[in-house]
Amino acid sequence: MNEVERLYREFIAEHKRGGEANPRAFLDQLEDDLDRLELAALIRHYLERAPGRRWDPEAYAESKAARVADSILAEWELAGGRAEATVGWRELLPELRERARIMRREVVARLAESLGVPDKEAKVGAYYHRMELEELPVDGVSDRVLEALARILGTSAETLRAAGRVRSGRDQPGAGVAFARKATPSPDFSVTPAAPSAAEAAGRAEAERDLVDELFTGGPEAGN
Amino acid sequence: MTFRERSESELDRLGDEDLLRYVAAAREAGRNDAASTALAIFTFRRYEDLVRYASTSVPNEQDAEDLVQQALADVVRATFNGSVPGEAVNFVFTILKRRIADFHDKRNRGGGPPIALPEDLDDEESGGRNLAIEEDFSDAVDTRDVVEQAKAGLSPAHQRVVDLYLGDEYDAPEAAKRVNEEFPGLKTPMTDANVHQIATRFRRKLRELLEP
Repeated sequence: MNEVERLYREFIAEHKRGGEANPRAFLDQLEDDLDRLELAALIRHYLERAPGRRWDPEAYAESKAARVADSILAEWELAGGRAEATVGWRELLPELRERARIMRREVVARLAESLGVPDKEAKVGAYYHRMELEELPVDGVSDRVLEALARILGTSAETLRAAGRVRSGRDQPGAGVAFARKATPSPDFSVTPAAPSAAEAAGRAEAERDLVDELFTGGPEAGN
Repeated sequence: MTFRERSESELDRLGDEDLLRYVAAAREAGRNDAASTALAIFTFRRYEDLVRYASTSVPNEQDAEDLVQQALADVVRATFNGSVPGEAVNFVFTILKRRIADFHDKRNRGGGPPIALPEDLDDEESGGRNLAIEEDFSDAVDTRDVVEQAKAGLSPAHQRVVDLYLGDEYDAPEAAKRVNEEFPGLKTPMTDANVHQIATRFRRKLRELLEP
């Protein structure tokens, strides 16, 4: 048994005994970076599957967990009981895929099929990817897309819409970005002397815009 | 729908997902006392392991605790919003991974003090080598666990060996015995030596995936 395996087993044993089992104390015993990475990965994997502590009211009263729960309770009070969505697409979409046991490429294929654009799977995939990264403003995404996606992922379009709003106005680009393709390109971004005029460019952008663009950036009613 | 209050021991037997549903139902019924009890049980059950998890990935304990608090609060809010999918415990870890990634992203973009590397701290500051692993979190937060990735290339019987030997802490003879019981159709029965070989191959693959 090598050093990583020995420390990993010691960590598990201490954890199961209800000891401190502080991962740092175990990681710090290794000098080699790759050994530490390996041990950290094994510990994380183990912790994700550990059953958690059995309820102990006395221990709870003295625990940091109690302070965290109190803090959450206080937040409820401040919010007046409103249940605001705080889990965004970044977390929700991968989790729903995981739950439905569907690979992303399958979600994309089914979404493209459902939207009636099976030949535009790559483009649908690019937009879906931006949704998972929360780079696509929710206000631009049509109800048709969210309803189709909700059916594939086993949730509701309303839940997806609410999750999409979590970071809008904070980390997401503003709604204006969603419609940027409709806007007249700035001459500042022309890269060749022969760049078309603003009017020509706008016209071409409009012409290149297809149903997929419309469904993902045209707003809730798009595609109806 | 009528809300039925449960005792603490009943709540303790509930899985995470049902426990969180109970929290939401109690709130909906205006039973904040019942909701807070269930929330306490859920938080107590998961808090320490979540902090342990986070502490392998951020520089100090306080950061780990802060991130866990954020993740737990997010999951509870998501419960009220009806958007906790699958097994709640997995969801908590997914949220936590994202919070850790955000933490590193923010630091790397200059949104906070730079993370000191081990060699930048003296022993007193770092608590000896009390420093998290500074790995690339764009990989680490992948929802697919790197250990699962390393297992993915193995047959179901060999995956079970890894789970039993490395995950459930059985020794090689016991792991071999259990795999032979669970996979009676194996061409040749699993032996202690096989268990060691499989564990070694698995760890080699894991290290390949972790190699910076």
